[in-house]
Amino acid sequence: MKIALSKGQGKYIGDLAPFKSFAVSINTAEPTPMTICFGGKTSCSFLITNSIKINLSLNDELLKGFSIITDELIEEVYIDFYEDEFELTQEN
Amino acid sequence: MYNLGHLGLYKNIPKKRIFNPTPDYANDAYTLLQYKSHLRNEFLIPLKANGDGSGVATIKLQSLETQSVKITGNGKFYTSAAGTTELGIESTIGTTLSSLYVKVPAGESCYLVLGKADKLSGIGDTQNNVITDGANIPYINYCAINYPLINLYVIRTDALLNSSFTCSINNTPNITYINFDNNLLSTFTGSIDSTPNLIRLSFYNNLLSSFTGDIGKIVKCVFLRSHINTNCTFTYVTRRTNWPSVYDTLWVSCASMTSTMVDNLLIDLDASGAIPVNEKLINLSGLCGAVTEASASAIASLVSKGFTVIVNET
Repeated sequence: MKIALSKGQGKYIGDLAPFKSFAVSINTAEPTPMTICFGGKTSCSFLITNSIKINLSLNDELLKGFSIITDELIEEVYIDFYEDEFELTQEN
Repeated sequence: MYNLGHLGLYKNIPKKRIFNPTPDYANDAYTLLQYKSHLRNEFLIPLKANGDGSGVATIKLQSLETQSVKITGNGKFYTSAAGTTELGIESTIGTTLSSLYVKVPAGESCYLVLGKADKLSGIGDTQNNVITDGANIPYINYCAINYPLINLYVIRTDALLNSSFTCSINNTPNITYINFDNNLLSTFTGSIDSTPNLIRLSFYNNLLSSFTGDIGKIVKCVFLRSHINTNCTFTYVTRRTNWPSVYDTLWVSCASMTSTMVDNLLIDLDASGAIPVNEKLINLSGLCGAVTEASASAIASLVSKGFTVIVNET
């Protein structure tokens, strides 16, 4: 889904089905800090350059939306949720 | 005093039984066999047939020195995974990861008997599971590690659906790598305080295990993932600056992690200068205490270095 931001902030209000991962993309190649707060209680902070994939299982809770805070220059964010985790880990 | 023994007056009193340390693999219970194995410096891996027993299990083990492995009952070793040429009832494992090819007839069970328990170093390795489960392939049936295996470094049973272990890591003081992600049947217990060399501990989706201990004491660990598990009681009591130079994943969800512990851990990890690698993930959400303002700048700093930080908010 696309979330429009105003002064680097935006939100989505509505049910989110349980997910185990999500992907975020923005239209800038500059490393940009971003925080997404799910259900008003679990925050996920990261540095994004174009896009990022994050594994985040939240105990199968049904979430009532999320909010985004990032750089004021960012005007829109694309975020998609997935039922499975991304394979991100390289074995040692 | 009369000696009445010859009258047989005591014939119904049971005689004291003498303990026979020789294992009777066909009749002794597994717990008794383990006791006898411990006395003999042996280690048992119980195997059980699956389906029609036609499949060959490839069991991967490693040892500090070459040691013999015997198979009991009607189990047989084979020369390859094809299972066409029988090798008999004795094989060896060496100092590199060694494969044992095993068949167990349908409906039967047996044991692998390793001759030098104190030299066993790998149940699998960091890249390979100890066994690959599949249709008609025998599986490891609740192999118990309940006496010390002092040179065991690796246990890997990632995503195995049939094979299982029960293990207290208090018996594996030199363990460096444990991975039983998505292995739903195994039960691991013990304290990470007793495994100072641990580098990776991962048991995502395993709900049965119940580890305890202080994350502040596993100073070499770069990957700790427990995720949703209400049985674990990890803490962060021993504050430290000696974190590894690189850090991969710390994903813990325990009610025992208080807000203060979460704050302190984030502050200490940031101050250590550890560089994020691979998944670059610090997830202290779920059942953990919420962060406070005390760790706000540490979180911002960790994010600027490339970590993804997931925490509960007040």
